[in-house]
Amino acid sequence: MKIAVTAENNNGFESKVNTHFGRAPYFAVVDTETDNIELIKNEAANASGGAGVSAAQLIADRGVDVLISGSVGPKAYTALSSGNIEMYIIQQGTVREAVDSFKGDKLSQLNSPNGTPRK
Amino acid sequence: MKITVLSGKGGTGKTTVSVNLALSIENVQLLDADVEEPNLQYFLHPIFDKEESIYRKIPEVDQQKCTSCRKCVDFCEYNALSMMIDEVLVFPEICHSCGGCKLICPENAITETDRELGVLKHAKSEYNVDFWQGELNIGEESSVPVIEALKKKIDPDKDIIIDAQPGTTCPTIEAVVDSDYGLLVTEPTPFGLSDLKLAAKLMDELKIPYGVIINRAEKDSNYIIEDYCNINDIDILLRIPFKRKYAQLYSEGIPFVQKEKELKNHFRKVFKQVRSVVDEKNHSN
Repeated sequence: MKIAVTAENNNGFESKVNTHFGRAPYFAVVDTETDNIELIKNEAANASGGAGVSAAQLIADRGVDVLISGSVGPKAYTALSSGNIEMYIIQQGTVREAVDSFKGDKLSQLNSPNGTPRK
Repeated sequence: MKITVLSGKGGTGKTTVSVNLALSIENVQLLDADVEEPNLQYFLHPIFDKEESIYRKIPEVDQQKCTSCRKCVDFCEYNALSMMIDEVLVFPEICHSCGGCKLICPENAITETDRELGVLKHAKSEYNVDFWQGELNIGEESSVPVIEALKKKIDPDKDIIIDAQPGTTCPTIEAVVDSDYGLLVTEPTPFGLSDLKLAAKLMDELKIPYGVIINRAEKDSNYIIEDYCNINDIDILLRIPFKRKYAQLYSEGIPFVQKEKELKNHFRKVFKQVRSVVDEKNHSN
């Protein structure tokens, strides 16, 4: 299974989680079978519009099954749901902690958008 | 003759100037091109007799024809399309209606549908002004198409006054770009001056003649605007004094010239002065 965590910086499993899906600087994509991590730069972070849609596309293209982030806007939510990507909420910690919490079933699932679009 | 009333700063008195000027002259058409917050209606009390929708085009994907080649998604600069599993999703709010996806689709799977962007409303106001108002729907990104449509209502047999949106971005430019003259409304404050400079720069860039009206003018502070205009050789056409009576009329939605004949004469003079500048320019061309 592949898990994407929105990350503040590019520091492997120790990267701090970022709480804004569309505008997060990085996505940490973790393969739970191999425990491999790849940090992907979010090229859409500074897009004037449609950052959430673009970010959803980016992680969908990496074959991600689960997203862990703080907030997901309405358009990103629609895109991620259509891509069958499950969303879970986290507010702080590192990427490692986020993945461990998910595995320990400690995160709550997002069933509707909870972010505000910045267009 | 087409006159656009504009300003760098919001709240300086564009609406006040537009309505009072319109009511001071004959055979006039007034357009409210501040389509995000059309406020002329509060002085004109119009009973609208015509209303028409303005649409823009949004792509619609025929999933039967779509082969998920993704060319449209990669093409869209505005991230308005995404490919999830093997289906193209359209996000109308962020689509800029450029039509590029339709052109680029090799399967002809994309057609376009209409989405309402705003409305135009017409009224013959109680002061017998031929009045058109543009309104942008909430959440829409671009007001320019509404302003374009609004300008198509221009009656060539009338003098036109266009109330523009404040600022110096696309909607303001669209309102003023083909005008004969720009009336720059400002107030004697540092904010007023700072934003007047931006508006003047825009007009220089567009090569449209312009003059300044100082609203809420006060003897002690007018120099803030006057010094700048003197140095840059910009005409100051009118100073509307900062008076309690005007504030009161404003709060009641009554155009000042309805109650003050003297101000009406001032606005007539402004119009004459503008006319002579425009005529002069047209002769020299």
